[in-house]
Amino acid sequence: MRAETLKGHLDALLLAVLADGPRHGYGVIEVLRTRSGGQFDLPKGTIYPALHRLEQAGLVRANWSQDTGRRRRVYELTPAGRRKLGAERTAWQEFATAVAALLAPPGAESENGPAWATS
Amino acid sequence: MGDELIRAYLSELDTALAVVPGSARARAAIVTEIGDGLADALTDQLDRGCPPTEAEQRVIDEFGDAALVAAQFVPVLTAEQVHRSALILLRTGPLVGALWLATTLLAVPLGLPIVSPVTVTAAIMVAVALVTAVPCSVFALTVTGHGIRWWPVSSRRAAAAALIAAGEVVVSDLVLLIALGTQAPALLSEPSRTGLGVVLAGLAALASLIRLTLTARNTMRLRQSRAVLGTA
Repeated sequence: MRAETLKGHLDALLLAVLADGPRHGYGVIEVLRTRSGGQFDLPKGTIYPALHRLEQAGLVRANWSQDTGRRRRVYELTPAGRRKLGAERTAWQEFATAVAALLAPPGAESENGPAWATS
Repeated sequence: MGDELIRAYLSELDTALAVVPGSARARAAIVTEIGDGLADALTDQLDRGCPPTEAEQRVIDEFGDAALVAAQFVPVLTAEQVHRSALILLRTGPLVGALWLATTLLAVPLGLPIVSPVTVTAAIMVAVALVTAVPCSVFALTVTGHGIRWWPVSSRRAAAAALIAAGEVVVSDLVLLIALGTQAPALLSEPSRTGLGVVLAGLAALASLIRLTLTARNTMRLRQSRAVLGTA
């Protein structure tokens, strides 16, 4: 998937990846890639500035760790980051529902609403 | 195992990040972090059976152009710089202001001729600085910190606000120092009587000089960073 397509969603995706627990930059990149089935295979170097932006906004906090014998920066969600993720999830559900309703093929709607909504 | 390509990549990244002046520590941290990611990616490639020479090139390709990565860090580094600059102004403001206020208040009972065209001009400049520099600094501090969650503002605009604040502070400090210079003969005429006034005035002048130096340096850096953002 092209990087432009993800513009505007990258912050929420990174917050979602960090919701499971602290990760270092490359760990975030790998989870993003594997959980998207390889769809979100962005230039890896561009993930780091995005993580730094989230840190400046207070949505994630970063600490240096030396557990593996190598200095690495580990990111974790802050309480504000968790709240933001919740809000992003809600907004996405509403958006996805509205888009799916409009893009559903003709005839896919039943009396009870769109087929996807009743299945 | 050689890692010439990765070293060259990190060196290129470091050079590209150096366009943001005064960011040496932050720059080094970024290079360390990206280097750590590259090392992880290289290990991944080797574990998958990729030949070492090919693995390194593949990792570099995956990370993307070093100049592109650096360009995305420029607003981040600039925001850090703006934040620091605004913080310095807001933290030093009350101390410097209190020293000058104490000096002025002490000058009255000492019978010093504090009302002159220069001192009145200085007072007006300080008032203008308070009215403009404080809101500009607070704005710059907010939009380069956690406040950006609610108030998304570009680093370039935040830098402009910090520059306005810094300019006001530089001018008011200079005018205050000139005003003190005009009062110096009267202040030093009877040191036995004006001793405390001399000490306070000296401290105020020193505080202003230190702030002037810091602010002038930050102003130059902010101007350079803003110019870089304008061309990015």
